[in-house]
Amino acid sequence: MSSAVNQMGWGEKISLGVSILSFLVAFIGLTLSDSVSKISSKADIVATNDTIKLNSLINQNGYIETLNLKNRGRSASKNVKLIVEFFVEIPKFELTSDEDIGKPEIKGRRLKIPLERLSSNSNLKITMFSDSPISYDINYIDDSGNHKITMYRETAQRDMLDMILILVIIISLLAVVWIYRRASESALMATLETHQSEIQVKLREVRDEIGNIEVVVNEPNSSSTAELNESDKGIGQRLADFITKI
Amino acid sequence: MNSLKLVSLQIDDTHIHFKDGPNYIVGNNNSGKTTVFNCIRYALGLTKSVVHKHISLIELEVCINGLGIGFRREVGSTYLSVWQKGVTHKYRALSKELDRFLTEALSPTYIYESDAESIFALLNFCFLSEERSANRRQQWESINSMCGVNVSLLSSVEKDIYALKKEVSKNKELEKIVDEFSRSITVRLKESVKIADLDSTIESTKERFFDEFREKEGLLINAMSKFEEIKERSDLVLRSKIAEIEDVFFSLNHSAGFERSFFDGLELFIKSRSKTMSYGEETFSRFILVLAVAKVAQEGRYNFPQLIINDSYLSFDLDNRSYRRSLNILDDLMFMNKGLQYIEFTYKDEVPSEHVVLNLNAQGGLHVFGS
Repeated sequence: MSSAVNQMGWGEKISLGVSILSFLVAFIGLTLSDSVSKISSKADIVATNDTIKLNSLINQNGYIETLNLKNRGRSASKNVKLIVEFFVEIPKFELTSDEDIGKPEIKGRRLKIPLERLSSNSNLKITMFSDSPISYDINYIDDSGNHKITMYRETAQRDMLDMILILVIIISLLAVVWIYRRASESALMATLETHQSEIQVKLREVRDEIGNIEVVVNEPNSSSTAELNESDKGIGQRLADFITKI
Repeated sequence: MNSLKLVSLQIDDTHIHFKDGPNYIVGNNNSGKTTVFNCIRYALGLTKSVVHKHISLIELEVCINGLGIGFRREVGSTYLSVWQKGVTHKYRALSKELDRFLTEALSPTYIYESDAESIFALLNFCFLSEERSANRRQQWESINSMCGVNVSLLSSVEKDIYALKKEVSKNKELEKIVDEFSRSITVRLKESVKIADLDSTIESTKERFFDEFREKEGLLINAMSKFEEIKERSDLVLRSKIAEIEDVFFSLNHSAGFERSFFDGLELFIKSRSKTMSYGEETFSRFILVLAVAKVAQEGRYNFPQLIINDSYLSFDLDNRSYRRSLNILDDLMFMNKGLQYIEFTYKDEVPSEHVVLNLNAQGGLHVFGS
């Protein structure tokens, strides 16, 4: 393989470098993305929310926000403390869950909800009401550390990014394979050409030698015309002629 | 020696008109370049082998010393028709009659006047082909002939001397045996019967019997001394002329970018294959050798017909720079030697278009390949 790389042109080497780099970047990006990390993590708590604006039909203005947290991970998250940081003020809220909920703790605009555990596929629903729109950040602390929860609606974007990264990996892999194949073919062709020219040289050498032998064998045709011309004469007569004429 | 110029060539329906100076026949591989090259040799009667089975007739017109001579040969025939001043003769290819006719027309000069020399070797030297480089010994003989050395004469005399030497040595052995036998006979006869002048009778009988032997011995001594004499003179002439060619050859090689270290001498270069040279370099150097001969032969002291027909693949594993330098050498040579006609078969399109006499690419190859 290294010989194939050695025989590549600069253009091919640059293409190969770019493809490998793209592959590595996409691979690392995909490995570090949530979609992949969730496969190996034990718990994966995701949140979905829904906002309802009340109107005059029911003679009540305000907003109802439903925040639903669910553990999509493979195992339970233990000693969970859900921290909701509101931007304005803490609205009225109600908590429902299929797990035991501890006593919520309010500090400033921060709401802390302790849970002994949030098992796989268990959820925690927070229903909130306020006159003004409700906005907040959520994160949770459990035995494994402090985690930020992103809204489930972002998943689609994440999936798109993952798809792009996978596509980049596939394309760069194909490109690497194609470049190597092309380089191998070129290397093979070059080797064949070298062999062909070596064979041609050898053949010419053989022909050369045969040619020399042929010349020796066919010598009477080329160099001893006198012998042919005067084949009827004896050696003595020919030499006598030679002495007298020359 | 008179110069030989190709005027026109007709291969069935393909016509080529040659000009003085450089002529190029351009064509890709398998377009028929070598076939045209072989047709010229075939028409001149320098070869017996059939050039191409789809070609039926070749006509070649040449000019020797201002005199037009036509050659016509049907493919497959061993005979060719040659017409000169309205008179047509028929010769067998490579025959001594054709040799004599061409020798008479081209009038090569040799150190010793002899009708033993063959013109074919001289003409073959002008044809640079892939196959030609194979016959190294023949090439060396061609160079010798070009220098005026009586190659055939020396070779045949040397063979005759060798044969006579063997005969004389056998005769001597025979004489020795007869001597011993006659001595024993004399002794026995003297013991039994009394014959007057027995010794003188036997001696005179032997003398008569061995007279012919002595004549041959004398002839051998004379022939050997004569042979040594002409060989010495031939060697002297050859050495001086070869040295002249060698100097030009080395200087042209140097101009083409080749170092002298490639060659230990011209004779060695021609006779043996150099291990340090690639085939392409050797082919190229042989082309330079012909140019060197053409250069020294301007003064007419060499038997060179002022014609080079080049079908060797010069750029084979050779860098383009050397090839371009060789073209410069050729240009210089053509400029200096106006009488030289150069015909090259090439696949390179960049040759000057005014010198292209046939472009086989433009007409889709020679008709036999195109069909």
